[in-house]
Amino acid sequence: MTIWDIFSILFCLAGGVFFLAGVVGMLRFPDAMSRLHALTKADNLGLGFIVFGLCLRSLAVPVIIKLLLIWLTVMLASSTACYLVGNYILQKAEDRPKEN
Amino acid sequence: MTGILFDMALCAALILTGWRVLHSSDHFQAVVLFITFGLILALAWVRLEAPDIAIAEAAVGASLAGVMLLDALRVMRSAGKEHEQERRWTNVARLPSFHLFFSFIAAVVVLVLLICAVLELSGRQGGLADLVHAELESSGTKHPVTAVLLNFRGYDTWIELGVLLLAVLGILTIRECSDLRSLAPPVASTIVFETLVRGIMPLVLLVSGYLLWRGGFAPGGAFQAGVVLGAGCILLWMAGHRSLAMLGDATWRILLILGFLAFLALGSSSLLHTGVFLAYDRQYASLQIFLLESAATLSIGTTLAGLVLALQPLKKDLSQANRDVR
Repeated sequence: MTIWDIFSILFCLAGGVFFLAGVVGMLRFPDAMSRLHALTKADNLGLGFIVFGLCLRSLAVPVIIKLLLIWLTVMLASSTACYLVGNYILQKAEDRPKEN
Repeated sequence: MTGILFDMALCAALILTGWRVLHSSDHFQAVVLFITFGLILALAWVRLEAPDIAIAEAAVGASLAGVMLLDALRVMRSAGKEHEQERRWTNVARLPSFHLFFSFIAAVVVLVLLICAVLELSGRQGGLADLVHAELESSGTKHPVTAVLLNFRGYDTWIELGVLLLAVLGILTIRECSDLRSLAPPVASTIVFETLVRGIMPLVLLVSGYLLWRGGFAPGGAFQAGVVLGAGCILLWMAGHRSLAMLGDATWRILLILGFLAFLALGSSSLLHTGVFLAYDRQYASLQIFLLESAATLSIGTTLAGLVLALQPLKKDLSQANRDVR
């Protein structure tokens, strides 16, 4: 086992911890906004750490570029989805007092 | 060892999600769980080393079907519509009895034909994989799945395109419109989503073209490429662009029917030349397959996006609703 492998395992584990925290947060947090916060942290940092860990494992430039692209695309999609859900929640909160 | 553990966890997750889909009391929850089920199933296909099916499952089973189900929920929940749907269904139930009788006869005939077809199958040990690999050289493509779909069993793919076409025609008939121009313009989206779609559309086209080209020698092909294209059209609509509804009558019809027609044209020309339907000329097989796949990609993209877009509110629905409000 080289030094790279050890670092790779450590980074992947760190990513796993973030995903676990995200899942626990989504299940336990009280409202949608804070759940969103937990989810996006898991997406960005958890996946980021895992991608970094996998990069250390392969150490081949084409693979690293592909992994980073996957990370960037997921971040783009997840942050937009998060914005859309948050925006929807805010709009619903604004609409509600008018109805009553 | 870890592989087996992962597979067992995957199976357990599949069974658990499937059970939850069927037994959740809330429709919305059931739809979201169904999408999750599709994604886990896609992962299972990856584990079975069938990336072709994994892409199709993730794109169609999870995403497109999910969007359609969410749309159906929206229609069900908007209050006035519920009664309209109810009326429609009672209309179906009140069909004249001879209609029901003929439908029953047709169903029995199809059932008997299917049973005959199953009985005629010869049980071959170990499947057809060896045969496919032996004939791969002459098929005009280097990937066994593409060889089966476009060459050995091209007939099935042709009929599948016909089924997709029929599905769109069915929805358009129920909506009482012939193309998507009678759809009400899409609701404007937020600038964030619009910017994302602007950025992602070139990527969608690139990935679609790449999958189509890749089908010649590796997992990929017309269906996957078409699904990506269709998803792009739906994203455009969601971002507030008129998307497929911009197409004129002729373009819309041609795009819908192109794949089916390409198979039909090639099949009949080979029927006239060699006496066998859909037999490729060995010399031009790869070119013919590529042309067929390109036509099929455009048609599949248009059809799948059309299936979703045709469920959106029509102009006349909206004007009707406005009148009701007044």
